[in-house]
Amino acid sequence: MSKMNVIKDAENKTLIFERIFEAPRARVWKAWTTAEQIAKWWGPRGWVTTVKEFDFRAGGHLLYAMKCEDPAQGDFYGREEWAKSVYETIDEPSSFSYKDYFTDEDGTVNQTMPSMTITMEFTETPEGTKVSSKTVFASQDAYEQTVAMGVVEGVGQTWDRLEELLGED
Amino acid sequence: MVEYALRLDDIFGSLADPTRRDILHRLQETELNVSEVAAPYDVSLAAISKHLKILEKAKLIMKRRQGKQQIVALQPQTMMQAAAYLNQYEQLWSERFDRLEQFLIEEDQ
Repeated sequence: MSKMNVIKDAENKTLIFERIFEAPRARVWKAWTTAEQIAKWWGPRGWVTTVKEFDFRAGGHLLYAMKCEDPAQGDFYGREEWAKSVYETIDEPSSFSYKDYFTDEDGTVNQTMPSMTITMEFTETPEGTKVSSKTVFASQDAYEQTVAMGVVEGVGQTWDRLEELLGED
Repeated sequence: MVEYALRLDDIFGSLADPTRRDILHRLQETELNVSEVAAPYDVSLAAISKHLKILEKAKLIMKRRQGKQQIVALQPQTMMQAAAYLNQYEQLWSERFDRLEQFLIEEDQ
């Protein structure tokens, strides 16, 4: 199993996740762009995805629920989360982009939660199809968003070092 | 799993201003009273109070009274939550890719 590559690109205010799949690009594309297939793998482990609405075209959307059906996940067990992807651009079979929102089951957007713009890219490589997911976090000021991410990262590292230090006792 | 309940907007909004970022950096070293916070900046105390209110609303700092003074301290756990959110987001994608790979393999069989 190949590992996910993570690129934190503060300069361009993005987070990129990449992974290579040993399958033809058309096959991988289909997994991302048909409701029946999305439902089979989209949610995290132990979560079941149900697609309520799906219209794969620019301006169309995917409305879905993810429900945790794994008793081992404690507090999450039984929890249901609704979300919506609104497709912005589609360039089959190499890329599409969408805005990701938290919603209720009618698709009404929860304005207090962060929304993100995600661009998916599918590239043919000798090893297989490279899937790249690029997230830009929504913010009133994209530059400040970057700074925020940098600050967050810096603090995380500080705490890592602190933990190392405490572990030395 | 992704914890959705975090007010990232408030946190990132508060960090949007250079003075507020500077205040946070200084508070990493030590707690300060309100006049100490205001001292290096060429703005009114009222302007600093406004900055502090925004930081307090985002739970990046907390204020407490000590005698006649108001002491300002960092609330590092909020930053930790934001960092945790980003980590969870990464974890979500990692699991998603795992499941996609599994799905593609099973489909083949």
